[in-house]
Amino acid sequence: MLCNLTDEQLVELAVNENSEAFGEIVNRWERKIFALCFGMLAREDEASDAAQETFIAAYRNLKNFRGEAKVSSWLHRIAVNQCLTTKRRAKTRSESFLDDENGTEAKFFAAPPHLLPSKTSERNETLKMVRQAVGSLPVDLRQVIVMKEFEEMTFQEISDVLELPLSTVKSRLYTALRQLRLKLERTSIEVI
Amino acid sequence: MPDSNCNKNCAFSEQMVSYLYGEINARDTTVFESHLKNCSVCANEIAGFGLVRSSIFQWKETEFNFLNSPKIEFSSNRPRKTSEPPASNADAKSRLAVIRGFFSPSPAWAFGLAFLLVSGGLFLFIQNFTKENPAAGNVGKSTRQINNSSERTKQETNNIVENSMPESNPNSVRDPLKSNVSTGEDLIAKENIPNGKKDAAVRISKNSRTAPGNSEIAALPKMKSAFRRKTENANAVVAQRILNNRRQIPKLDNIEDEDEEANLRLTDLLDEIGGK
Repeated sequence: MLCNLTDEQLVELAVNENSEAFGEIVNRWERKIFALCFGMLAREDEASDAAQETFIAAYRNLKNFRGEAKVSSWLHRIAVNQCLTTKRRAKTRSESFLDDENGTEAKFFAAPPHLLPSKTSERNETLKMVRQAVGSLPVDLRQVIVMKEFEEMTFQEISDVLELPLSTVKSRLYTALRQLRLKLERTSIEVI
Repeated sequence: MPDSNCNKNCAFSEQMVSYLYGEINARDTTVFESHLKNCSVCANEIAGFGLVRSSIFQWKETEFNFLNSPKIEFSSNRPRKTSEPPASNADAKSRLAVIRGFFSPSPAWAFGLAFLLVSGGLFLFIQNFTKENPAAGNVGKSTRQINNSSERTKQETNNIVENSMPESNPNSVRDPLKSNVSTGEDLIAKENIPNGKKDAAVRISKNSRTAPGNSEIAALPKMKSAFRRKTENANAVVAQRILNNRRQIPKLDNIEDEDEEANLRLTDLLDEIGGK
């Protein structure tokens, strides 16, 4: 029965202490939010924590949701803020491998355990460079490209979530793609 | 041939992105494709963007798609993170905190308790000290005795002065400023002054009522000298008594050493040594 309801209707039920309604919201958006967090943070553990924190924060602030924006936009906004907070914490702990335009931190980017350097093929090496390139993008450019590539959101959806004009979203995506192309060409790696 | 309208900040950038992601309408698609035929920069750029997109897609496919989404659990009452400690531990901590809070006194209680202990200790110490050292307790006594003796001396002095006054009865002491001379009003009555002038006469007499008579002013120096003489006599008597009291105290010069012979003197010792 809950599956037929819209996100906004589910939130209304969840405000009235219907935990199953909020569970349905989690089921619908869990994967996309996790994808966003993974693309933003490029680390599975941090992405997992950020996704959990996003839904916890949403649940705690259900009463503050006024219905002016879409639930998806609301959740994405919380997730992006959560990712930024995680990045700030990581930067404070000097454990951050991303968020550096000069790429000085990106060189410490850790590969997943199943992609250890000794076992990596040329393709894996290329993927490592792609992660580094994405991770070295400025936050505002990175979040746009992650929303587009990992979550497969439309420009309009991204515009709604970030509360930016449509032209700004397209312009940011264009700039992000240009920077990524230049970074990948500079590494002299043949893009797959 | 490159399009002259195309540069780094190409006006077609937004259309290029929309075309790349397939979010462009049919009319704009036609326009942009016609532009691509003439603009090698844009054509080159869109090819490079395509390769970037495929690289990101490859990354997503390889590292993200196989990951399971994190389990997010919510209790019916309160959202709880999966890594949060269980409720029993929290309860145990809270109970421990309550017990600790019970035994840890607040600063007010601590100060009150400390004050009571210190004051009680001081009281006991003073009690023990006065029992062990009676001399310390006599300090108050001697002070009281001194005060009593000085009071007595004062009383004696007063008595002497009072006795030396002309009249011992204070009621009978005559104020030199108050005379037995009849007042101005009496005189007015005696002199039979006409009623028309009586008011003015009464007013004048009232203004001059406090002024002493000539005979009393003449008697004042004699009374003062007599009073001074008697006061000096009283002072002399008191001084004599104080001197007598002092004489009763034995002076060290007058004390004779009764055991003079029993005491050894340095000269005797030297004499003995010299004799030997």
